[in-house]
Amino acid sequence: MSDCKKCQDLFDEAFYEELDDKQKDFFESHICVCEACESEYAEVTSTLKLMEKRARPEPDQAYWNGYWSRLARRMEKDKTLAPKSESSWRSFFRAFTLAPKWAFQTAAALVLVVLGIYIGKMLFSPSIPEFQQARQLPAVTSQVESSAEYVQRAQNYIERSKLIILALINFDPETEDPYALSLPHQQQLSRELVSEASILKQGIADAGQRHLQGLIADLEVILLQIANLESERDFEAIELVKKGVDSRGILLQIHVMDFHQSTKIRDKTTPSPTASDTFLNM
Amino acid sequence: MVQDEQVLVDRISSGDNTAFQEFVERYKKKIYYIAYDITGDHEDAEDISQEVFIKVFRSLKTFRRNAKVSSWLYQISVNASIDLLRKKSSKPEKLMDDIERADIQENLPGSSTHAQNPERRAEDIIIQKHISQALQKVSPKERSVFVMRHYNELKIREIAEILNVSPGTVKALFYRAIRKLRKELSFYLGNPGLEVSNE
Repeated sequence: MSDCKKCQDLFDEAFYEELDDKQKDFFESHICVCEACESEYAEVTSTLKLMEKRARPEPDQAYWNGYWSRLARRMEKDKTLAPKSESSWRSFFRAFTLAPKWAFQTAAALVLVVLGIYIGKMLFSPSIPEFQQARQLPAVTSQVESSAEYVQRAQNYIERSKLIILALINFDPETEDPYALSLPHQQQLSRELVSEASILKQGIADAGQRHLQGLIADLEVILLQIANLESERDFEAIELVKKGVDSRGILLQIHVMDFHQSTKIRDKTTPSPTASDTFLNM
Repeated sequence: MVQDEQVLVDRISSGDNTAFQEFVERYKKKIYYIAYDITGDHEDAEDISQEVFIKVFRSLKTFRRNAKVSSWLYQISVNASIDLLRKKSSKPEKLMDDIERADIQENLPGSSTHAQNPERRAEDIIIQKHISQALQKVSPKERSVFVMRHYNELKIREIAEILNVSPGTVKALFYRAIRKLRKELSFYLGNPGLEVSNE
């Protein structure tokens, strides 16, 4: 490093008188012989001195005396407005992330095995004989008719939730501007979906769609976490949400549901036996 | 000091109700001033400082025991202030004239406007205004570094810790801020009649 560069690197400490003896000796001797550095330092000094003229308004003692009571009131107000479950969910997920890696791997393997069995059963199970179909048909039809509306609503709910979750999952704080995430908008949508979830779960449960009910419950947790994110810059909390999505296999569940939905549509166009509602009835 | 801070944090974590109030009393001015210096607005500074304490209260249990509480507090305050500035930058700013600005200064709680001669007061108001405007021209990050160093007397090393960058980066941001301020305030710096003094 040249002497000038070394000297300029010490301008800051020199102005605030933080140089040690050795640095001070070097700085003063260099400034004496180098006009460029001397002039540069004079400019820095004059600017900093001018900035000292800025008067910061000082609130009076009464303001400070009332500070705690104003803060306490606001905390009380926030407490009544904030969802009660926020801290418990957060601590739950924090605890969840502390679990060893092998536990996640085992859980993921189990989920895959179970899903494999269900998919296998659905695709390769023998068709119901025609006479049984005929006997079951009225009951199944009435059940489907009564639950059709809720199933439709649930699919719509899942689709909307998926969009919000994908926006968060695909967000990379390293390369993207946090404001591109439009978090307030996503939080508003999440809150709407969370409030819809309880009614939907009840309807789905009554319709006997346990798997859908489970997926909506999982989505509700994730959406609640998104709704309670404090800011776009709360990367730690965003990371926890991502881990929650991952550990619950939510996107996988949605993909499986989409797959069954497309199978259902295909089956309708090419008449084939009964596979249609297997997933929804799981 | 660090040990003392840690004891206070432990007391809050263990549910001691008076400890949090003690904590707020200890840091409220530091947090308010850093927020004020960055945002330049009393209401915003009050709002940010309260948000900081609420956030701290909620997340104190997860606070790393080996970290310095004041650095952590500064970090939250600086981030909250920068966030607010960015949000505000997307909205059109209300332009204030000198008189309006002077009125606001006078109406601040306890603001002591000097009862000097009107000419001197007017001159001061104009300089204050230009300095504030010059500070607003500096980017939020450069401004944060500048106000932490110049008005809150933090060391380069401490600022680096707060912003999670290297000391070299802090110095670079500081000099960049000075250069921009110099350019904005060149009228005063080049005018012999308005020589900068130490008074």
